[in-house]
Amino acid sequence: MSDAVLQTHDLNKTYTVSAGLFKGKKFLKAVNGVNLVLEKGSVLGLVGESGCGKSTVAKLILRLEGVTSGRISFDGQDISATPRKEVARRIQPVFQDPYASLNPRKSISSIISLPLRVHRVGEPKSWHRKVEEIMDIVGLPPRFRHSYPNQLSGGQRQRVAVARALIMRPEIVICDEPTSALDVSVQSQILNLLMDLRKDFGLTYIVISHDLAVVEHLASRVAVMYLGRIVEEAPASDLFKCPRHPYTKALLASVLTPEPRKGLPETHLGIAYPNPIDPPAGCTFHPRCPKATELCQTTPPNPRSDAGRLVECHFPEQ
Amino acid sequence: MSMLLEVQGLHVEIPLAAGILKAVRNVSFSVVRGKTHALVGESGCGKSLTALAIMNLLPQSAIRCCERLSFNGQDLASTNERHMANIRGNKIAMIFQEPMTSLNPCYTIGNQMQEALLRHRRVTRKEALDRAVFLLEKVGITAAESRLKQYPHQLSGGLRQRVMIAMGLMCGPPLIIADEPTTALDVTIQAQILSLLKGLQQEFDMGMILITHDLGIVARVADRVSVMYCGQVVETGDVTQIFENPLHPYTQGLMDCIPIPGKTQPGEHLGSIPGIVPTPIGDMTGCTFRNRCPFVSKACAESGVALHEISAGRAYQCLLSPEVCAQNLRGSAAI
Amino acid sequence: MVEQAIGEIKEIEFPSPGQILRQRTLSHKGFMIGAIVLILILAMALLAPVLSPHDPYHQELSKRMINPIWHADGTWEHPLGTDNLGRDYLSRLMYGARISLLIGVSAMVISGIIGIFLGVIAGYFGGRVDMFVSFLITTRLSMPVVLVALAVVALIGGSLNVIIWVLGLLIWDRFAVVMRSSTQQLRSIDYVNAAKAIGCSTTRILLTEVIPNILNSIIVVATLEIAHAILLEAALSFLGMGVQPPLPSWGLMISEGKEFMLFSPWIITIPGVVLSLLILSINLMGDGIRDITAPEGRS
Repeated sequence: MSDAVLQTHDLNKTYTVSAGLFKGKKFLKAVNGVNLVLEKGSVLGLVGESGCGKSTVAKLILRLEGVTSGRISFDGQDISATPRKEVARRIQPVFQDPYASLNPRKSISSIISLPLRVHRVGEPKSWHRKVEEIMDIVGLPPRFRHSYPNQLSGGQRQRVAVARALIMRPEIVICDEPTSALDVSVQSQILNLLMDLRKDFGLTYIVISHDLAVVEHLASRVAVMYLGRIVEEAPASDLFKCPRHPYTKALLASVLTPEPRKGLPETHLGIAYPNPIDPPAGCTFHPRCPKATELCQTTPPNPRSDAGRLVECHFPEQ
Repeated sequence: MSMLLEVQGLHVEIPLAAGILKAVRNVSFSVVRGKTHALVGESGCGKSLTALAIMNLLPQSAIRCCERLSFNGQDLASTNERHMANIRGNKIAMIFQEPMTSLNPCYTIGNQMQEALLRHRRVTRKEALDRAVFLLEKVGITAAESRLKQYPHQLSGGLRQRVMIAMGLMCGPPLIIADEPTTALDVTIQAQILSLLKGLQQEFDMGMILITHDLGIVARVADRVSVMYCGQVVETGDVTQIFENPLHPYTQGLMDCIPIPGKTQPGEHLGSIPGIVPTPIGDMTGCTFRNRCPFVSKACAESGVALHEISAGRAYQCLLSPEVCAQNLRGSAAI
Repeated sequence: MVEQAIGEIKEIEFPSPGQILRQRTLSHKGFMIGAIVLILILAMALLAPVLSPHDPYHQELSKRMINPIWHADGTWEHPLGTDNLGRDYLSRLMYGARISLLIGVSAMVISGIIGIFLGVIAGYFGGRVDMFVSFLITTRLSMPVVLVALAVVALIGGSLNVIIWVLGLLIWDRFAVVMRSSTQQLRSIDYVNAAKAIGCSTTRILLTEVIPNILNSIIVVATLEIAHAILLEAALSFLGMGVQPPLPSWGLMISEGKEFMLFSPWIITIPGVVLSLLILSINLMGDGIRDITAPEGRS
């Protein structure tokens, strides 16, 4: 039985935004009461569209931003207020944009060895060898040690980002859209690499993506986010076979697989994504939901969980 | 079905410090009214440059030459800039990827849409406004009159892209070129926009060139497909032929790379194409895919590999025979 | 010839940032012209003790107002003639270069340290820090630099040190404004986030991740501020509130040449021309550096 290595309890993050000149301030609830459980060795997929708060959850866990309220606990210990440096040895990110995640003025070896230098891991003499080792593991030719990011392709840069994340052998890796900015043929190389590394190093992943096909391939559990809340969470195979929340159904229907005879799906979703600053009352999904009733317009639904599945809907599919 | 656009032997070269970049090499395809032709390929394959070459919107330093470039019987290669400007927007509309930068933030939607029509037709402002309202409603935007008074930044990404589509239709063009029209949009909006484009295409009997890197979109939207790699068309055919029976090793490789929920086994290795795309500078003899091809042989490095046409509208560029290619496909599927 | 493996295609080597920089620098005409002129003036300044024919302070009243070499009665002993106190003009010009460049560079360094520090912290931290620094910048911008400098010099007297410090403490505003906006653009870029996630301290991030990437802007502004400081010093000296005689500041030389403008125009023209050349060359270099280090697109 795997134990929970990371948990969030009622995580909240609110930003204040200016509503315009002389109009005072408004509040943007980017993350609104998120409860996650990450089990050791698993891959949690966090899916949702832009503005749902999935990247913000990642930033909160990485301690890149402060939590407004709620707790994050790591192996039972509360890390919501722990300084970043302590968390860094155990949780590392891989970002989306391989062009923006590497400092263009630094050489590859300097980029990869930065964690070693910051945390003073071992002897400086051993760093050279560690860098070579990790470059070999991620499939980068050793001659790139003295190259600069602009000399590498997108896939190679993403490998550098992975190498940098893994050089200190963290326990958890948070991949924020790790392959969205890459070409299809490179995407599969990086996905294969991530899968291999997880097995070889016993890593735990949180994979954030809007690409459901990628998430279905990688994840063991999936959580679907909408406007800052988790609206459905289930083991990956269950979620993809029988989604219970109308939003999950629509998301899955929107996945365009390369099967030519299927035509275009009808998602029945109506109007566009709401503004997170002015979320709809009641169930935040009701303006777009094909099954919305009066109850949905007034009362936010409570999360219901059974047999390892969670759904937040007044009328979930069975 | 009349041939709306015919492109034959299109070449685009860009002189760089390191040499001449042969960005587009010998690209040929055709578009008919009411049908969508997709140009699909990864970044750097030259698909966007092909579209710009057709519209003559290439960067100053680029050199374009082609055997044949005709639109509705008119030769575009010899059309001067003034006449090209009359064709753009009027007969050939282009929809870009990022609607925020393609719409001018200083003018209202209504203003820009009217401009699009008034530039090419002698109509009154009122008539242009009426057509704008008509088209906004056609693309599914409610309360069209009030939307016309809004500025681009007041609309969401999906709405802006709908406005772009409506603007493209103002002059009733017979051909639309859509360059990654949904890449910047959310997944749920993407399906809506594509449905919209397809519906409008049927209704107004327009031809469409769809440029994208997303094979899923191609499969669901396109009628005919040209797969591009490193500036060349490596395979072309009907959409069902390409997806159910890909011949070229690159096309086969691409299909293998994509995870399909329900079909690919979760947790298992995805197919991959090792290596990276070569830069098309300098000596280009032989097949440009040979450094990544699982079926490479010595012959692939010698002289150019020609486009091999096996039936009307079905062609691919490889030395291997169609039977061997089909076998390769079955072989990889069996693994 | 090495037999290539089946299917191998020769890779195009992309040049490193250093190589790209070198190639662009050498092909930029404006930059090269500016650099050559500046190097000449710099050489003149550095080698003044060796190259100058006479002591710039040595007065010989019997040899006052000798015409320069292009007049009928000029001599090679004093190629640019002598001024009203019999001092060799060429020597004064050469030593004047030292004064101008010294003041320019020193004032630039002082103002750079202040301005870069304020700009970077305002851009990186935002919020209250940004508000405070913006307030400082606005206050400084509302002050007329020349008048304030005049007032200070009037109070405590003019000297090389005073001028350097007064200018340095007054012209940091452009540094601050430019670095603030450059840093703001980098504040939430992924490699800064990655460094934070690794646990880098803020100081380390600012020094190793942020500043190397705004170095382009720093260099451009620095060259422009050298020119700015030199011009200000010339203006102050012209007004008598800069460096004091007998120091051979070009501004002072222009001022002293005022009264002889009609009959001995070279006294006022020569330092004016050289001053303009220096400012021009610095500005050409500054523009050139901005072009050369223009943001590189994705490879």
